Amino acid sequence: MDLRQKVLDLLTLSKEGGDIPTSVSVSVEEQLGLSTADIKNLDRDSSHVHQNACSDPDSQQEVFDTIEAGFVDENCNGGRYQLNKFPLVIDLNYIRHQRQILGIQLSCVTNKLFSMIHQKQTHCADELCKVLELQENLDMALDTCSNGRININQARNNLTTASLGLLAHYRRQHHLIKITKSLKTIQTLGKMNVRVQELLGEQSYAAAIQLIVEGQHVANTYKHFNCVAQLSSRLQDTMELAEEQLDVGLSKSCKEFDSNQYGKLQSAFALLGKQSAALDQLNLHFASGLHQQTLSLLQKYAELSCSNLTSGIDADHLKLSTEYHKLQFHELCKCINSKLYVACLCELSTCLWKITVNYNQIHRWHTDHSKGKCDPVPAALLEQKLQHGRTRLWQDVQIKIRTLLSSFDVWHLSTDELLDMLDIVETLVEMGKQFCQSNSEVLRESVRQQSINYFRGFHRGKLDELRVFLENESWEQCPVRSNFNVFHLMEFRFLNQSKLSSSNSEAPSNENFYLVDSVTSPFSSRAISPPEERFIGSSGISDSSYECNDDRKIEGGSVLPLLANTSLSVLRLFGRYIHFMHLLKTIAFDVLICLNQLFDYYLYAVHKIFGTSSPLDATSPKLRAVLMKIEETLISTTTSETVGSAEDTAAFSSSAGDKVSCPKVCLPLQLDHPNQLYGLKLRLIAAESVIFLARQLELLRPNLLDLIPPSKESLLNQFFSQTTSVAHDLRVPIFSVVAHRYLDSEHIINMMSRVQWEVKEVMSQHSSYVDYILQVLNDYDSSVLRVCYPHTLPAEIYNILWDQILRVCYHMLLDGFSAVRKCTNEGRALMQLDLRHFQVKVECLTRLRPLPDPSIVETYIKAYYLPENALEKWIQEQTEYSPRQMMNLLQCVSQGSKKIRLNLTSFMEDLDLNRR
Amino acid sequence: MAENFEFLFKFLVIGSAGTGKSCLLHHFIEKKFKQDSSHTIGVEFGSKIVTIGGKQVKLQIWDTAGQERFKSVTKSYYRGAAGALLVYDISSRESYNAVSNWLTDAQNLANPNLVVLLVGNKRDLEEDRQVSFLEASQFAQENDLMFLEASALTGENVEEAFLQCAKTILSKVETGELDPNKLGSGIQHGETAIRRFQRQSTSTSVNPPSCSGCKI
Repeated sequence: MDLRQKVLDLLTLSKEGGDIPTSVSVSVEEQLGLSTADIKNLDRDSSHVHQNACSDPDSQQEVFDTIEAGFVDENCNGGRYQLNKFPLVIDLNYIRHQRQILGIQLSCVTNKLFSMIHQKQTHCADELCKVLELQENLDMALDTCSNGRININQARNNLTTASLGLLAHYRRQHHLIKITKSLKTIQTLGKMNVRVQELLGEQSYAAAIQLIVEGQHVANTYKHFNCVAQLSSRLQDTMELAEEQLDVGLSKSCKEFDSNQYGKLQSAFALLGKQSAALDQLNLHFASGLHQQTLSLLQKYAELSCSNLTSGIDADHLKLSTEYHKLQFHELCKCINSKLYVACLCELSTCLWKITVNYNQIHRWHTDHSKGKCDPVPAALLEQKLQHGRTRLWQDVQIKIRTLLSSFDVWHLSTDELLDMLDIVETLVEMGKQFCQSNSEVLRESVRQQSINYFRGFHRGKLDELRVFLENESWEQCPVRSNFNVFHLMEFRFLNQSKLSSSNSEAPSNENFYLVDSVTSPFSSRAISPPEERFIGSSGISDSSYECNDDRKIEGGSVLPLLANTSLSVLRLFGRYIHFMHLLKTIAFDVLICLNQLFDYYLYAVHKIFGTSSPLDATSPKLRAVLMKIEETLISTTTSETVGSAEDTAAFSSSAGDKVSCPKVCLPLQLDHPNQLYGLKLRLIAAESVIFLARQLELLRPNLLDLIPPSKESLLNQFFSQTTSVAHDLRVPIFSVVAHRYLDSEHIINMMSRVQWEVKEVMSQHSSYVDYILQVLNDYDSSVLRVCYPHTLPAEIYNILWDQILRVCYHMLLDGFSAVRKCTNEGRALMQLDLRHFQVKVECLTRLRPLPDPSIVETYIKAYYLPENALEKWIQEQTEYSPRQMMNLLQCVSQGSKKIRLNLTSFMEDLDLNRR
Repeated sequence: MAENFEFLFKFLVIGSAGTGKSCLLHHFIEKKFKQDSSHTIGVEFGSKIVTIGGKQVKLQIWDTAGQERFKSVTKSYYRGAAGALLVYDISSRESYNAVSNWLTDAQNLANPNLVVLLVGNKRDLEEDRQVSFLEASQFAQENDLMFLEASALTGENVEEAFLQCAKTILSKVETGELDPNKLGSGIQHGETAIRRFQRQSTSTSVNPPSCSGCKI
């Protein structure tokens, strides 16, 4: 206990004094009974252990772990701690043990400490180097500072404060001068706006733009001033204004090109670097300008039409007229009065032409100016834009014209107006070719459509007119010169003229619409052109070529063409139709078909009026087929009550509308009058006029062929081969009626039946009825002459008339002979004699050669003589005779024997059955 | 094309050559003077629908050639005419002298009820006048004709001439003096009296007038 206390005190003391009194230790040693040597031994032992413990790291760690926390505490006094730990009763062994442990621990810790110090030593050295360096720098700074101080002191001594002040003042002056200069610039900048306005007013666009650009430049330099920011925004506004002005200028150029003005505009745009954009803008302006101008033009015309209609009195319409401003172009087109239509089209075309002229001038300006300069914008691009613009502009032009064209009912126009219209469009097409190599398909198509519409209406009207003519036709001969043909008609004069002028007409087609100084519109010149050159409505026959001598000479030789008033009208219509074909080349073939219809209708009407009561066999199969075809295609079958409504609803729309009703003769034509030979004269003129028409068509054939596309030639030839060739066939049915009605067959057959055929001797004198027939025929001849006077009857007709009447005679004789049931051989001979006598006498009466074959009568008479077998064969072969005629023949043949009669009758009946 | 009319009157225009018959007709139908007129050959016709007393009447007007050599042709058209305009030229005594012959022909050939209106044409040539108004009007009175002077050039009295003639015929029809059903009276009933009400026509000439030989 004391010992411990003592050690503790010792320790405290040693700490305080640093010295441990050896005496104490000795005493302790003594107290403990230990020699220092022992302790040293102990130490040695423990150090051994220490050596061992510290050598390997694992055990080292273990040792570290055993170190009590008390030792590690910073404030701890290790010795005191250890001492405190000791029990009150000192046990040497325990101490020894503790000492051992502590020794081990100490050595371990020492070991560790050393190794760690060893590790950090290089770092320490480095740091030390740095510290040294820093110290050096500090020394240098100190030096500079002290130097500076020395220098400042020097300067303070050498320079005066006043001179420094002077310098500062100078610098400020310099500054102020700069500021006033800037302010002055800004002032001019402010005034610049006004000047720019002035320049714009004077239309010196380029100068204005230049000014603005400069201004902007300046403003950019001074943008650090607040006021300049404002000014520059104002400049921006002015710039926009200027650009607007330029735009307005451009749109003016569209309307009225002025190369000077345009040059200014372009240089301004060049300054702005907007040449290419300007062209786009220009194209837009053209489009809108075109729209605007055409619209206002149409409005003007719509109002005019309106006031025309109402004579300006009707308030409603006046109100309506204000509404035109709201209407669209196509709606306005529908408001145009037909009278104003052509004028409107003309003015519209002129307006459009002016626009294209402007465009052209602008284009030329560009090409002229691109040569000299090398522009920033490639000239090729501009050119491309301009070319593109051309095509688009022309497209617009076409659409406008088409709208106007198609919104109009062309059939309200007179022909002259239509031709004016066509002329205008033709000029436009030509213009389009020059303007942008356009084919103007849109225009061509719409004009073609309108031509067809017009012509359909025209044709319908003409067919109706022809019907009225036919219905009122009196079939009087129209006096014309003997060598008259279609080419003498005024309507055909154009054919010669067109030939004459064909060389001249090349010239105007090459007319350039875009000459620099073209002031007058190509459309206005048209109106001035002399009417003679155009299709103008004089309907006369040119007096010089037509006029026949006033005292109508009918010389024996020359046969006057037989034609009626209607035929003449048809010929004139031919002329007009051909002229149409000439003018409307695109629809020439349609017109030709209509022309054929005129002829067809005439042919049909003549047949209807004069030929229907003829016997069936008089009409040739070909003629019959043609008539059937005409009836199918051309003649409306509706009755008179519904004709009108059919016309109403179907006009122009369906094929039914193209049909005409069959002509109904208004006035009695006295076709039943025997005195007039059943209208022989009228028949003559009617039939011959058809033939005359056919002949005239033949004359026109080369002209027609010229006018239609070659692909259609075969159709034309077909028409000629089918229709015109049957014109001659029409004569027979027309004239056979006369012959059939002239002979009173009943009376003659009656006379024949009274003849005694059962004579017993051969007669030398013919029967009296033959004389009667001959007398009738003689009268026939003279009445034909009388009725037809003063015309000479054409030989063909004379022949037909005689042929027909002789055929009638033969049939009548056959009827007469076949009525005989009883007859002797001698009676049969009389029949032959009568026929022979008739034949011989007739030959003297008529110039017809050869006479029609009388075999039908002859064979019949002679069959009587045939033996039974031959007769059977003969009966078998014959088809011309009626069963009744056959039976009567058999009756005569079998007069002698009943057996023969029965045989033959049964044979006949068999044959009859077989034939059925 | 709609044909709305109640009656159809057949008209004749007769008179010596060169008195302006075709021009009168042309002006009546086209409302303008025909500049380059030449002699008519045979007979031509034009038609127009006019409104008389609220009735639509279609006039079918046959314009005859004045030249002597066409007489045979033109005479055949006299039959079945309801009205005739007998035209002379006030500046040509000769044409006036022929009037009585024309009148006789017309009265002989046409139906006895033919309404004739005497027209002194070319009134615009006042300074060349050879036939006084008084003289002609006396002649008209004696022969129970209507009479007026007109000018195809200025259009004066042209429409009146046709309308007055038509009016007289219409009043005769209405009083029963003329029978439209009689053949050759020159008057026909329109086919479409009923449809007249379905279609409203605003102007006197609904249809584009058609006149053979006047156009083209």
